[in-house]
Amino acid sequence: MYQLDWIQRLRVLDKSPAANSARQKPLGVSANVWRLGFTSFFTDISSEMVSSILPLYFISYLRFSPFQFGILDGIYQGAAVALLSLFSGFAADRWRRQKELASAGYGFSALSRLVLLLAGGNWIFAAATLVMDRIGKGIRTAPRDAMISLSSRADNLATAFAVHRGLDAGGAVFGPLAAFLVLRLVPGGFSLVLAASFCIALIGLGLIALLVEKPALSANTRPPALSLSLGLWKHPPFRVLLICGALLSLTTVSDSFLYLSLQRSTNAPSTMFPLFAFVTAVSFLIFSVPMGRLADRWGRKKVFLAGNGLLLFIYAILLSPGLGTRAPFAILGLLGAYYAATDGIMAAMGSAVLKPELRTSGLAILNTAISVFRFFSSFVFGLLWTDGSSRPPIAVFLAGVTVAIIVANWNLTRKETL
Amino acid sequence: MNQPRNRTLLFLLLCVVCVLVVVVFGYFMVRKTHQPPEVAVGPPSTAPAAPAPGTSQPTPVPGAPSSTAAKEPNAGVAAPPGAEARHPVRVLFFRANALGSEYGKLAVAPLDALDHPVYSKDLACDRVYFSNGVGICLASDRGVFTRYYAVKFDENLKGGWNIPLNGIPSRTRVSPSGRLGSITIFLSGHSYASLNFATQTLILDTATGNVLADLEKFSVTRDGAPFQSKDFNFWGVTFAHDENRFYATLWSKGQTYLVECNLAEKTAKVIHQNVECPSLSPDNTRIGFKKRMPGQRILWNIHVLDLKTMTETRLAETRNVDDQVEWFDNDHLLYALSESETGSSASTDIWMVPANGGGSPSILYKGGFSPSVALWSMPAPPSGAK
Repeated sequence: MYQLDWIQRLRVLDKSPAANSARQKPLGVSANVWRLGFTSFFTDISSEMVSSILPLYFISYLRFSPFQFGILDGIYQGAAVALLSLFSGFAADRWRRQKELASAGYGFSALSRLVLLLAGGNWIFAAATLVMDRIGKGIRTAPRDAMISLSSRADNLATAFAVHRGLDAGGAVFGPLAAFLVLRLVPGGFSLVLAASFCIALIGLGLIALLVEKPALSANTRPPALSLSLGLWKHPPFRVLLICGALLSLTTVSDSFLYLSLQRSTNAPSTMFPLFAFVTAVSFLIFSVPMGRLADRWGRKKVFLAGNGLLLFIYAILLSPGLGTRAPFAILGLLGAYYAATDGIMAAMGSAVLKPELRTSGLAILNTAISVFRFFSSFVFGLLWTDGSSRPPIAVFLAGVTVAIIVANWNLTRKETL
Repeated sequence: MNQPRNRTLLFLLLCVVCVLVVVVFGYFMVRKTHQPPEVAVGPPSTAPAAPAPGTSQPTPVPGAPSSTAAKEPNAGVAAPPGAEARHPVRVLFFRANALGSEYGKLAVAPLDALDHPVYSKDLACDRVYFSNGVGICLASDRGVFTRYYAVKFDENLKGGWNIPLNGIPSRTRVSPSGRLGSITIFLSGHSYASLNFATQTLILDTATGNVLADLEKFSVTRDGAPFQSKDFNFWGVTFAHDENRFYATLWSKGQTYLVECNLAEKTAKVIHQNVECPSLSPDNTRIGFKKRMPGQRILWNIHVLDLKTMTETRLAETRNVDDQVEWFDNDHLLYALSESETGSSASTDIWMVPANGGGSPSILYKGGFSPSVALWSMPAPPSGAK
């Protein structure tokens, strides 16, 4: 009966596209959110396909020392893209162009695949396209998250974000598989992988450009001035969230350092890194929707803080002596669950305290703060990691995350906004 | 109201076109890779036109069936080589590095017939070296999770033992007698994690593939005093004739050193500074190497160090060379350079430059990488060929 009802509803809904907000699909999440989710799914498949065959050449062909590559990686991820994301968020609110900016971001990524395909064996272009892909990501993140929240009911926000993040992680799962499949069918077919990657990115772009509807912002409110976007931090509930988010990011170890500690403590070969990333993505995919639903039912703050508690657990396992060969997979499973319980829920909590017309700016500020502080945390972690033992930095981070959770718990409770 | 429907149709159309493009692209790629029949180990099909190196083979059969061509030499190895007058010739072993269907394959070409390389049917190598009948090929198996391994191969380009590697292959060498092998890999260095940029250099027994030594376990001395640091990295081994002495690069705190190592004693002695990827001349008197030139941008120029006088000579090649050079003979060096000026192309050429600092560089082979010069007995054509 339920299933029939579900199909019936879909049919009815498909015929009345005007009532966007009323269109509810599985999990009570609107069609727009599902479409945005699949846009991310395809785009991520596309980028993971490429990155699973590329990165080694940066060191062997571009003559980057690993250290230079690390710096570049840090700069374009942490700083440059974060600033761009801020700009894109403000612009989206100012001009009410969330969809256009998000589409442009996805377009940028799709274009980078085409450049890569046409560049042939030129690895400088290859490096440039990875930067292009990152820029695209910087541009699209805040406008897209704003659209997700504006297409969802307030009581269902975390689930909506969970659906999106789950599909996004799904891309990271299927991307390497797709690349592997293509190379199985056509050995040495790297250009076919690139062509397929471009076409898949194009499908993602088509999905957002053609089928995602602009969120309904009430037409009579005036577009906000830039000063309002800049002054958002004065808004108490948002400020508390911003500070808590930043604080918790500061005590979060970056993936690459976590993988490195795992590799060191279990003596796994460094060629396992892609497998580590894959396992994390699988876990993220599995836990995303359950965590989102739990957050909407029990309270976002609880799940968010519990998620950070998982991080505490991860550090504790890493510090315990004599890790077995299975331990990495338990830790990576926990890491995926941590992302599932924090990433989308942070966006949902942010959306809940931000007015619709300033939402993109606010989310952009939140994202930027989080990525800047994550970069900072990597920096600190690296400084503490002196003699090849990852124990001192992990111990410090364990203490840090404990303090951060206590502070966040106290602050988020005090402001009865979430 | 039918605008959304149009958009849905447009989107479906886009999907169909994209899938079609990929399928058609894939179809043509499959057809292209299947069109040129694989060149089997054995004389190249154009052999009659080429100056056949083994003059005792009057009429090599053009396009001999690959299976028999591959089978027969195996039997030939079991019997003492050269039983049927197979004269060893000087050849160039390398990785075929011109974009195309042979890209990445292990290749070998007689020096007097470089236009007619023979490609290995089943070995593709990132790095390759061959000496006295023993070859090492560092290979990668790219898939969802790329795996790296080292494979031994014999005169017939047939794979022997196969050992997995813990990181990205960087350098390999085989000792003059073929008994010892060396492998350098990047243990890690992927992202910010590269704070722990690390290499590992191993010396192997080529007969078994067993590890004889890890350079990090050697006791190092500098000016007679013990020299130790946790951040030691070693790479780029080159073997001397005595099968015990070898040279390598040692890196510590941003400085590179040339170390002379003793395999039996597991000791190493710093003998020079700012030397990377040494390569010992066939007469064992000089070392060719890449030297990091002063300046912000990375620029490595090839130099030759005279081991008796410890004087350096800068060679005529002024471009950046990031390779372990290889001696062509006692007077010339080989190295690979990118096809394009920017050094960013995946396709490379093998260049040659005089070792005395004079002359000018010239291309020895277009579309090759990781060269080594050796004596090689080309597998004979099937015995029934007559």
